[in-house]
Amino acid sequence: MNGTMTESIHTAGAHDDHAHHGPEKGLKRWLFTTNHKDIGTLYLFFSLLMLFVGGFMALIIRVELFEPGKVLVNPEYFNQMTTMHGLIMVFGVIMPAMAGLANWMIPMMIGAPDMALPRLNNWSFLAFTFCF
Amino acid sequence: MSGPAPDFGWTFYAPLSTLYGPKSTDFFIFSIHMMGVSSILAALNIVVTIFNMRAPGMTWMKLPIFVWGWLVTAFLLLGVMPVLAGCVTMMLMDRHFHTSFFNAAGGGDPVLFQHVFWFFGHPEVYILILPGFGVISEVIPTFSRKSLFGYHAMVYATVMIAVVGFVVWMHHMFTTGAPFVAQLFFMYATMLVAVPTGIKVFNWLATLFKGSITFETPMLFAIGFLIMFTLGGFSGVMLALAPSDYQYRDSYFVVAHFHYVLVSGSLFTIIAAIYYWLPKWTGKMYSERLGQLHFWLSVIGMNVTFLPMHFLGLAGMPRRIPDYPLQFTDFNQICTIGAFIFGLAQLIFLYIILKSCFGKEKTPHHLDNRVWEGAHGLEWTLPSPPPYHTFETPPAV
Repeated sequence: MNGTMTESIHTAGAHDDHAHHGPEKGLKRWLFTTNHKDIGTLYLFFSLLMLFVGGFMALIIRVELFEPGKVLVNPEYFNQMTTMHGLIMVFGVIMPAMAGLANWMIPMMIGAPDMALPRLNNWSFLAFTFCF
Repeated sequence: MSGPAPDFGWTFYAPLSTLYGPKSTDFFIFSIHMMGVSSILAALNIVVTIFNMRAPGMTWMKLPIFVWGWLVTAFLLLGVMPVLAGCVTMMLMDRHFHTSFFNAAGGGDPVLFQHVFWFFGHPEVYILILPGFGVISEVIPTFSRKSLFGYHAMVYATVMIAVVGFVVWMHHMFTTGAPFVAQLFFMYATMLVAVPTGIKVFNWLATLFKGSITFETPMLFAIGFLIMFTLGGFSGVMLALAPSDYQYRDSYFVVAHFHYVLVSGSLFTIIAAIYYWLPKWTGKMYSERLGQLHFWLSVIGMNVTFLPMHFLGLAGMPRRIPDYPLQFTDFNQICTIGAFIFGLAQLIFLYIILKSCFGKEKTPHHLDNRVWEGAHGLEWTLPSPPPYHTFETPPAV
């Protein structure tokens, strides 16, 4: 599974399979993880989902604006779409995607085994999802 | 609970949100509080990790530039999320506890809301882009097979953007009746922040110059970002000019500006990062042809959607309106068509990601550690996909 690995010899910890077991299976793994890779993945999938939710709202906006007058939705609903589109895209897509990239890449790029406070990291993600 | 979702704009100005907001507003306030807590804790985690857990030999000026981008962003988050929390708490007080922070009749001022909100809001937009700048600074050198031009300048420019970004918030409020001197200051400060941004753009171009360039999908999105984010920057400089902003503000010109810097800015950097690092994470290469299709449809869709909005704004179409005068119809229709092209293009992206994460290959073939020929950095010394725990022993740098 590890392709060419001679050059990664100096990263001694990189592929030591004697470190007991791999991750657990199932929902518990994802709910209670403290692993930066898993948390990064969680943030990124959440962001991807929100991209389509916010994007769907954008399309409703654009359909309504296709012609003057009412096309699809009434003005009150339109205002909700514009508001939620903005909130979801800013707080639900861009920010968690950047956070996901941070969680995945920062430890690997600085040669660290994980983030400094892994349980806090997990809690941050869960609190964040709860907002939505 | 029945009733509408928040409907007062993502900037939720008081008194519209305090006096006339639907019942969901209180849940919205609660959500913002929780999200702020999450962001502050995540930012703390990032700062502590970068300060304390670098491999031995990784001095500050050897830090990967993506990590620098996030380090600066984390400090921005720590600085402004509490301000947002204060803003929504004052809103809650006004709504339910008979205070008058934003109510002139009680001695408060709606403009106070705008100051507090935008003191958060402007650094927020730098929070949205600075990690993305870091991504571009990783991608462009890899596919130019050349190291980043002016690493030190890039670090200082990032810090300067963050610092100057704290003192420009009033450019969102030029028409609120501020004193002339204040408007002048904020105009100059806003124009000033274009300087370090320009330094970054020029350094990316200099990295490309005389590089050995190939155009894989991450590089396509990076170059698309370079051109279109710069266009967004131009409309930004136009908006910075206070007298002109009096005309542009609250029109579709503003909408065009921020979509150029957010969609072809932030979003494209995120997409570039995904294409760049997904092969590392999953050990599988995405289909390059599909990636290219996604790119071109996105660029075409994006421009068809948002370029006409500049003209709509200049012609006088206001923002946040569900209905408009007849003369704006044609351009609005172009925008709508573009939006659907862009939206459908993202389905290609979804397919690529799902296939990479969950697809079964007929002949499993895992990628090299160094997925991209020109890639440098510790993450490219790890297997693709990396083991669950990596760098349990620090590497030599």
